[in-house]
Amino acid sequence: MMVFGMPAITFFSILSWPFIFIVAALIVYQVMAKQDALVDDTEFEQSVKGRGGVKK
Amino acid sequence: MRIEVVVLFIYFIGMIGMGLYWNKRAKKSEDYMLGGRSMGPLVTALTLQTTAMSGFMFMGGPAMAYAAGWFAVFYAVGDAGGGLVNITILARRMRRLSQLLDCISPIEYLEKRYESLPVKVIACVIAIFGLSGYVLAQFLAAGKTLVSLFNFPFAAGLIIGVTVILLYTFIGGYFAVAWTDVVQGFIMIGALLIILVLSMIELGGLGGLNAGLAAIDPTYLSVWGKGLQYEGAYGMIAGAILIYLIGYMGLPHCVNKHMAMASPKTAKTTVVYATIWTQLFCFTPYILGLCGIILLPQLGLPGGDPEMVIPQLANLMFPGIVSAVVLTAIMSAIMSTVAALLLLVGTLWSIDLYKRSIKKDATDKEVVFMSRAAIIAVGIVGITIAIIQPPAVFGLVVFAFGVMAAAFLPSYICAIWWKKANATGSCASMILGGGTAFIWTAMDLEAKTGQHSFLAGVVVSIIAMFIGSQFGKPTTPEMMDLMDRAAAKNAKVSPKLEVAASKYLATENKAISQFVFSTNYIENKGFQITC
Repeated sequence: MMVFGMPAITFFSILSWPFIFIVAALIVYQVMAKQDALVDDTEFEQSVKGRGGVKK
Repeated sequence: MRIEVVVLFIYFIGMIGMGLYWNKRAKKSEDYMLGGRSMGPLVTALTLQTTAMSGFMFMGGPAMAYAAGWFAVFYAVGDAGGGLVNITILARRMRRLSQLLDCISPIEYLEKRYESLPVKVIACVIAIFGLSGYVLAQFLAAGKTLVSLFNFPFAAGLIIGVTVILLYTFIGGYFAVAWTDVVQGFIMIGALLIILVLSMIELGGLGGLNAGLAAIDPTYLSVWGKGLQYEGAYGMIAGAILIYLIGYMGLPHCVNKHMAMASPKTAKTTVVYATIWTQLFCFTPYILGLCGIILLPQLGLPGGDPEMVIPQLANLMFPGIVSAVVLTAIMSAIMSTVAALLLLVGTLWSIDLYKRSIKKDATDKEVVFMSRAAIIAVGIVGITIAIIQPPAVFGLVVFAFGVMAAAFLPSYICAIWWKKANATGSCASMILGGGTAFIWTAMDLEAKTGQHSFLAGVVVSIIAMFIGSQFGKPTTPEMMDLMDRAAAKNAKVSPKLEVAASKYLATENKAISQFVFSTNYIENKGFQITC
């Protein structure tokens, strides 16, 4: 079977990856968004002042 | 004057102008070296990806496709997924932990996480060795590009190209490096897509390209490469994908981009931007290499150079402005990588050596000055070595990536994902992993075993981290607590979640909880929640 003049196995094993990665990135986005909604990250949204760091 | 030269000089002036603009913001050491931890998702995505993708993608990638056909595109797959894997695994936790530990450099981060001075010393030695090789390779690429495209004398080409990079990195620090990366990222994508579209029109689309390849040699279309030379080599395909898929997590100049994000929440949008950019960028040079087989058959003859497929396509088929933009894009790819490397070398010297070992009470101004001095010094030494071109240098640069990635990969991942990982494990992992990759290449074991040096190095590195961490001083409870905070395990729970969770309580508690939290919510959000 040929797709765009090339064997289907070559087409799908190589040119399917961009779609796989973009779908994976969208899934990662959704998962991260859900996790972020449950977490208060305000202490990390302000730059650390000076070189004192955050207390352990 | 040729249009290409005019466009290139306008581009150079623009880059220096950006350095001058960002100079105002780069006063403190944290601003100069990490952009004040204020980078948004688009900047983080593009600076990470353009740093990872060097001039190799414009030269080596098309040459591989020109030689092997569609098989070579497998090498793009790892690159295309590298950003996704890197950001997903490291970004948020590394951003949090680096701030909790107050780290500016990625080596300082390892030292503080593993609570060990030897970790810093070993990491510094490996990083300086690897980064120097990498910088030198990019300097040579910049000089050769200008020579081959504009017929500049090599030394003059090298000095002009590197001086521009040094100027904007020196003046503007991380802000300038990151924002020039954004501009360079768009130039790189734009140029490649323009030339891809024009080439495809010339060939009659993907079908026309494949028909042309089949007419020359049908095995160009096979997954096993031209002449079926890689038939059954599943391990080689897996290795080619794996190297770049996970390798970027071991490169200090790539992982420090996570530390500069404005917030851990920046990561989720960054991952989408970075993935889209890499899909557009990584596959295109290889497909252009395939176009070159048909459009530029003379490059395959003796004396021809398949690495010049993209410049030749631009120069011969689409002279003028398209050619100028493509050539500027090649310089962009080189410059974005070099700028990040130089900045990191400056950070290593000023923070990890000067501030933490030589003068502990150094002011911020002194630290920034030392960083700038190191950038200039490395630039001058690099230019000198590149002009002299000692024979060993070419061998050195080839495995700089493999050594650094194999040495640092387990240390960066385990720093946030495995509490038991300790200094003994990290030291063993860096020495044995980096050493294996080094020896593997030096003794040419790649040809004898069929295994890539990175793969061998990273396997040894992971085993060494696991075994080494069973010995020596265990991770302190304080560090485990910080790792929990970096994983957001005991972070403050948002009011939204508290209200949602209260519905599972007994009736009286539920009423009290929802009253308390609703009041809190009203104060915070300015509207009422009905229980």
